[in-house]
Amino acid sequence: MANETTRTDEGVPEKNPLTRRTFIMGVGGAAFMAACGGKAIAPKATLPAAAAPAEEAQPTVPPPVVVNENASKSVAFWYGWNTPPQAKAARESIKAFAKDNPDISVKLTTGAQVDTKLIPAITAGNPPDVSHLFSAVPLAARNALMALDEYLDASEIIKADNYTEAQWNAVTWEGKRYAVPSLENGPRIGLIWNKGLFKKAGLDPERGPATLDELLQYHEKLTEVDKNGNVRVIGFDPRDAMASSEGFFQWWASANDVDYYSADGKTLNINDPKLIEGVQFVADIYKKLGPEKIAGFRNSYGTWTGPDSSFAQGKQAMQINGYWTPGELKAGGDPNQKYAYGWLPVASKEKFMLYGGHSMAIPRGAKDPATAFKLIEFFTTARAGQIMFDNTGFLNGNKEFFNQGSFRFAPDVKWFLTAGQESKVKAASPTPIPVFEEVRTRFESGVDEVVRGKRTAKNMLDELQSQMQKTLDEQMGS
Amino acid sequence: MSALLRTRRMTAHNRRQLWTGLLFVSPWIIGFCAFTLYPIAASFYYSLTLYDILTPPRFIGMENYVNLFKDARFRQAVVNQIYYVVTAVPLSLLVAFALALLLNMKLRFRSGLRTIFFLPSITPLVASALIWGWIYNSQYGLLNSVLNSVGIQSVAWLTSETLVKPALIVISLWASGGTMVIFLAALQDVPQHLYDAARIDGASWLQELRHVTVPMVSPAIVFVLITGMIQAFNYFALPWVMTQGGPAGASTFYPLYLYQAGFQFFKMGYASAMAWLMFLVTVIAAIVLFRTVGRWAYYGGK
Repeated sequence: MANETTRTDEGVPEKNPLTRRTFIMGVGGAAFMAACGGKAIAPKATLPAAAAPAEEAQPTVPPPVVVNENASKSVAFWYGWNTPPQAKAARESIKAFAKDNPDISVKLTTGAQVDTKLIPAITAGNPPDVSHLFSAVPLAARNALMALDEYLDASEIIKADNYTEAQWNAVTWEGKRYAVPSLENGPRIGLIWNKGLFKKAGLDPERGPATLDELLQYHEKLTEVDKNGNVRVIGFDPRDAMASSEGFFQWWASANDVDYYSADGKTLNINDPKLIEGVQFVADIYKKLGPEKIAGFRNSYGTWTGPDSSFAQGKQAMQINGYWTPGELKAGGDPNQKYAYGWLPVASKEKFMLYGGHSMAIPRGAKDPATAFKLIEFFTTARAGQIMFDNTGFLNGNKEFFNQGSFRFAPDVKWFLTAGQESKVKAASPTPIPVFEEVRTRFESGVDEVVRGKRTAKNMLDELQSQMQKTLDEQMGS
Repeated sequence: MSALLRTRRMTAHNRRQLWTGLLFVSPWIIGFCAFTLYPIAASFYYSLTLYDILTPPRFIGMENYVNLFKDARFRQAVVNQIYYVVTAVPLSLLVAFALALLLNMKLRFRSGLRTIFFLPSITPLVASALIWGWIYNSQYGLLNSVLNSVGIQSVAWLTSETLVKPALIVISLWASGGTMVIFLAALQDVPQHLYDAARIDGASWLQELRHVTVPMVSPAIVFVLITGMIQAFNYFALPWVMTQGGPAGASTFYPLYLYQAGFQFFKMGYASAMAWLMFLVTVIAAIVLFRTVGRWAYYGGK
């Protein structure tokens, strides 16, 4: 290639235009253009490993399930979860719906990645007719959902009184309701503890800590560290499950009578002195054991109540979590572990419960909203609620189901239902602020810095408040 | 293009040939305009707007660019990215070159060894992340198990702010097989008579490396340096899967923060500004590399 000289028919040396330098420059230029344009033609033999788009890290979405394929009307439904029990619950629900509505075809997609794929689908004008939502207000505030008041007011199935004000607040923006509480919705905060671990540590397994000081004492007694410095059992992780990120604001604010956002969702108050105290409380627990030790523990065990979680495996003694805990522990936890349920260990003047959760909505651009709403109505019924609960342990948020449903699948859910009736409902979940996803992400990173002593809780929350209020004002055009 | 400019002096035959050629490349031109040029131009426009994808963009001029430098998380992402580029790229080059030198020698099972060292570079990224996640696991990982067995306390490889970036860089070094292959090809192109002449002159192995091997392989080194730097600026998948940018933002690299801003925080305009800034920095860095290190390369053809 390089330096080779060819000759013309007359024997005259003819310089080869393709030299080594030209080749290298050309390939380098092509690689540069490829790097700028994406990884489509980037050479594999370069370092480091090529950056793959985030979608490649997500689980594969299974093919959609269709019922009543030849019906005259159709509804495409995106359901966000895909574990076997959840997918089964969704399939059985739409089959039950299809039986009652033979003129409606439903195309169900489970594991639909609604948090990443729904927005591009709406923008492209090709959304599903009904979508499962983890949080409705961020989309409602950006005109991504259809207001449902007209359908709700006319509905003979969905009764407003069957839901708490907190549940409606979580799906309301500027006075209009954009989604219906459903799929996983209900009372969502309490203290759960592992009776076996309590007994092993010499504590009464039937009685949880009643105050924060007691919580700290129990945590120290229950935590075990081996000779290599590894945490084998942790008493309490203040950043796990419903105590983490958004949950922190909800339970700490509720316990201290703090409003961390205004009723219209346009003003934040996340640097209230009581919330600063709360972050400091979290940092104190972490600093005592060592943030890297706890992080190392978390590296080995998952959070919440999945099968790989520390709580489900009996490696964590106490957790702040919601009504779904009994069902999830039954489905995937160690069957030898026994649990008890109780109130949060806070010195609040009155007992409180958080209500809320997920919802179903009709995205902007859906082709047949009236038919789509029928599917939403069905999922709020006691019948659909029973199907969902019997498979997953999830409630559909409807009091009618709470009052008449059978909870044999996970009887301990009754503690939450009873507690919900006995207490004041203090906060909505998820937080109905359009920028709360960004608040949550920055808060998590900020708490990381506080527990590692890089900044103070006040400094972190003051900066977060200022930054997020500015973002909220900009994005809402204030 | 110069042909087009000279159209008036072109013969009818040449003009026909030109249009025929353009017709044949038109699918590529259309695709390039629709899927590359238009998105690039659109992203520049969005970088000057407040845009959440769902509502129409609102023009705000250079405000996104100004706000970037006031954002502490952005500054942290920049520092993390520079750390990665400045550390991973040269180290990867050294490791790959050293491996290539070793595997260019007459060894038994040389082909098998070359395959073994090449395999990590074609291992799917998520599979690599899972494997290394287990190796680095603080409590049950292979590394800490070995350390514990000799009485050393467990090390928080992925959960320590200080160690998380080096830990991720080690994974990149492990996947240097592809670059090793490029160097192997370049090493085999070095004329043997140069080594023979050097030996006759009494050169040691190190002198041969310095005065024969490296100059002759220098174009490949420059190529690897430049493309490696470009790839390093796009480092996203491993930190996204393994650490999600933690702990305390220590592994929040530039593309990861860009992704969060654009797809999680509803700030596509802000993310577009970040993308353009990265593009400018990449271009400037590539030009600087071409003009400095590129000059040092020996091109035997000229």
